[in-house]
Amino acid sequence: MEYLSTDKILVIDLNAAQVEEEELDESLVQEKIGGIGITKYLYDKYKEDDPIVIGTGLLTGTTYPASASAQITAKSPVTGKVCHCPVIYKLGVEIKYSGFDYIVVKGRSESPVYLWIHDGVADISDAADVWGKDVWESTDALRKFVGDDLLQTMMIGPAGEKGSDYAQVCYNHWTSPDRFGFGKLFGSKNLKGFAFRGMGLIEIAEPEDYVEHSLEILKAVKENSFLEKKGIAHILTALGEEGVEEWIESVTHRHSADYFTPYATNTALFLDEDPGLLEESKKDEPGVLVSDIYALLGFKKMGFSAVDAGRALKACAKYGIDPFAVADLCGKITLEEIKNSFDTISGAVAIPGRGLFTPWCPTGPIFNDFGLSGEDEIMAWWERRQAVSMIFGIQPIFSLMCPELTEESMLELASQGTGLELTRETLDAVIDKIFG
Amino acid sequence: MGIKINALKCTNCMACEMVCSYHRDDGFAFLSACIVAYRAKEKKDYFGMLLKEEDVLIVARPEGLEINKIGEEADPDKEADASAKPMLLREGCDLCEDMDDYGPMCVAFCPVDAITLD
Amino acid sequence: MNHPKIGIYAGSGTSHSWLWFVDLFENAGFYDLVFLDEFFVENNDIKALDVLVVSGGDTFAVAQSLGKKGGRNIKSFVEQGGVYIGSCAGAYLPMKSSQKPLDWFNFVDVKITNLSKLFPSAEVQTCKSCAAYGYDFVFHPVREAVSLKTTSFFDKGRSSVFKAPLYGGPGMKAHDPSWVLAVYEGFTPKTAFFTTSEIAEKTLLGNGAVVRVPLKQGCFYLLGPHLEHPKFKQANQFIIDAVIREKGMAQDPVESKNNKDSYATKEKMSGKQAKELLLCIKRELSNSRIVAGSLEFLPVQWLIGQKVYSPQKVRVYLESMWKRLRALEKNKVLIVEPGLYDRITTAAIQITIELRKIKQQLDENQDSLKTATLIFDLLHVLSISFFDLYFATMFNSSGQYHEHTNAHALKGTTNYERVMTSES
Repeated sequence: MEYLSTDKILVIDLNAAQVEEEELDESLVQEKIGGIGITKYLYDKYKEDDPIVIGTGLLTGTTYPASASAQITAKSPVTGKVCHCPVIYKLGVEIKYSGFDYIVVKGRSESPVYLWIHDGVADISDAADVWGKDVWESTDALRKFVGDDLLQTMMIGPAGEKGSDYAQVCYNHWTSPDRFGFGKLFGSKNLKGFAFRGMGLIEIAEPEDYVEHSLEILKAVKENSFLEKKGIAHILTALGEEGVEEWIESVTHRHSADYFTPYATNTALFLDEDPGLLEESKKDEPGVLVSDIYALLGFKKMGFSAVDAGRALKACAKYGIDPFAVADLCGKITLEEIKNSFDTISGAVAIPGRGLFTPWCPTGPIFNDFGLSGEDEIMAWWERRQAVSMIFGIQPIFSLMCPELTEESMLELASQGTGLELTRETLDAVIDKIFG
Repeated sequence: MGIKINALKCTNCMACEMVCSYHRDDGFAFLSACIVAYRAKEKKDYFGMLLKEEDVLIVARPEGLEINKIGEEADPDKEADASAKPMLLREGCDLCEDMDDYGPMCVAFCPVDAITLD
Repeated sequence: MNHPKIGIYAGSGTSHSWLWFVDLFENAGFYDLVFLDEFFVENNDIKALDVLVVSGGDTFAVAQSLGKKGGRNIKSFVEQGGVYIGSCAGAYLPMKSSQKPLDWFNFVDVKITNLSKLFPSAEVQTCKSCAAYGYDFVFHPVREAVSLKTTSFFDKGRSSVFKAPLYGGPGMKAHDPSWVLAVYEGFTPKTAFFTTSEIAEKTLLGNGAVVRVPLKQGCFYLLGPHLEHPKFKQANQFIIDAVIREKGMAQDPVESKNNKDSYATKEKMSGKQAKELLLCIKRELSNSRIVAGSLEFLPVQWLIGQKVYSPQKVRVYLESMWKRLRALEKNKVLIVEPGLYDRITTAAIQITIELRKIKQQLDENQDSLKTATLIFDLLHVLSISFFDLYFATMFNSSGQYHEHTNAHALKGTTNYERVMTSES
């Protein structure tokens, strides 16, 4: 696969501590397109080994607006279903530029390991130094060891190591869209996580057309008035939640976006530092970056102040536990009680629709209504939208905001980028397969 | 005429870095960009932009703009996280002079208009 | 096709500019390249070479490393028909000097014009604008692209003007004006001035930029600017034309056949071992360039000897090897000399370790000069070994081979061993 691709599938056997590479065949892309179209295929191929499959969308890391996302496909140890979790921030893009489009991890390691993926090299590395550490400590330790602060990680914390149903795979220092207990899956394989870093180059079949078309789409996207806003509070307001902006204002530092995503879906809260500070803080850990709107809302509804909600989110991020599950299920009242309850939570987090996609994403349109009405229509639209986002690698929350990111434009750019003819019929077939 | 950066508007999305590198490499990569989203202080939520021009390095910090002439020593009292030195392997900004359709790519592609042409 | 056998000095004292010569010659189709460290120049017969190249770096350090013996060998090489091409530091090296250890290399009667009795006023960069030279100062009035013009001694019919970058190289006055092939003709919009324009003009304009000094059967080419810089194609062509003019298709078919026989005794590595070697190189080059990339934004420089090094220069070495790795990976068979496997893998792993160490030292505001010095030494070891492997493997079909590489295996102490044991 010459274009929009690293041309490589990595297969790691943790049992045998072996690493193999396969070529990504053009015919597979022609048939399954990319992202969860192919991760699902790979999952089925290796399903006897209970694999974790990491994939990148076909457009991930390009000039298509919001092409930020990669995906994890695996069987949730909690729901028993094969689910798909977006990989966001800058991590999704780093996976592609680290040299592999798809990574299959099968089996179980005898001792704790992490996978160091860099420039097309995959190393199964001893995790003895980070096993037992929380997510923040682990990411910091690996960045220090590798010698690069821009190392991107996918890590579990104590929750995953202990086999909690609510264990999350966290991204760098932050909580993730994982509501499926993938952290438990990682822990069961003695897999502390992944570290990614790469300086690859992706070629494009028709670069000028691709870039020109990307810019046209971006210009159309920028016409949206909601782009004057930034951050998670406005998303919650748009979803009908009141008082969030006022509640969170006193601790809000800045807002940041995932790769090439026009709306800043992440908000940093400063808990131990003046949020108005623009210079670099002298404190090592002044606050927490929040992308989980429902977790934040959950702590608000428990009556927490914004500071305490931030502290709860930070504690969850360090422990590697789903903060929404904590807010929703722990039944505790104070921050200290919550922190002490991580190992004793029980209950289930509801996964909407077919149970394939994470409810970390609001289950409906945001800012724009997309001309939808009725619960059933919205759910059907939402599931298709999630599937399409994860096939092409679009930031999943932004795809719910922006009608200008049409399936037609994604198909067109995918064809321009790869030189393959990718049709709506193919896309429909891929989605049908994903839905089972 | 030059690039103007509003670091407070920036959301650190790296679009500028990607398109600048594309302009130099004709492929998608981040290696060759002369404009770089500074993001090495993730836990502190401290981010901005670095732009290498022919003779100067522009450091667009959230607290203000800093322009360092190539060859000047870095301030020893400042923490060593923003360089007064040019990024040796990267070429200086040429305002995408050969891209008539777009002008400077970083200006055209910034989703939040944090980068403009002065 | 026969190629001139070109030796590129890449040992102690050199900076990264010799890598530009590698690119230059590879692009020109001159594949018979050998990479020399100071031990080889000192202890081996370099007369098998057609051309010896010494590029930029710290002239004093180069001279110290090559030593008296190395100097004698170079002189003998030229006298017996060899062509020496020296750019920047390599141009200073054979000039007459009373300063130790440069006085071991007094081969050409050429004086530098950028020498001053008074400390020159420098408007910008002290460390790059001058260096002490006994009681005098070698100063560099300008940096970056300058304009050169060929003289009638180069081409009676016409003169041509081309640009090349000056990074500390000399202006020259030759004992015999007919030795001067090109002069400094002017400055360009990109020229950065370290002194006043009057001083710069007086020091350089009209003075020798490229000088050819015959010595018995051979000659010295002294290049003030870096004509080998990859961005200056006309200047590059000047060098290629010079090599062809002097040596051209030097070897006759009989000699070529002999080379092919010697190639047959080299080790062929294939299968699992070859894959492991390439994977190790790829892994460690990746690990190293990741750290080196992160050092790019740190405001640090190291003064090693008389030369300033910055972290980005580490990446220059690494990228030069990295970009050739893919081509190497496509070969099922690698051509290696005995001992190369261990040499490459150990140097590559050690570079990663030291780079990670230096990142930590810089983050903690600790002194990093010793580590930096070691890294640049190790980069020399690794890159010499890598390019030996690369050119031997990629171009073995031409029948050209590096007879000298066997010498590394036969000798006692190599530079590699010296570097490794100094840390134990």
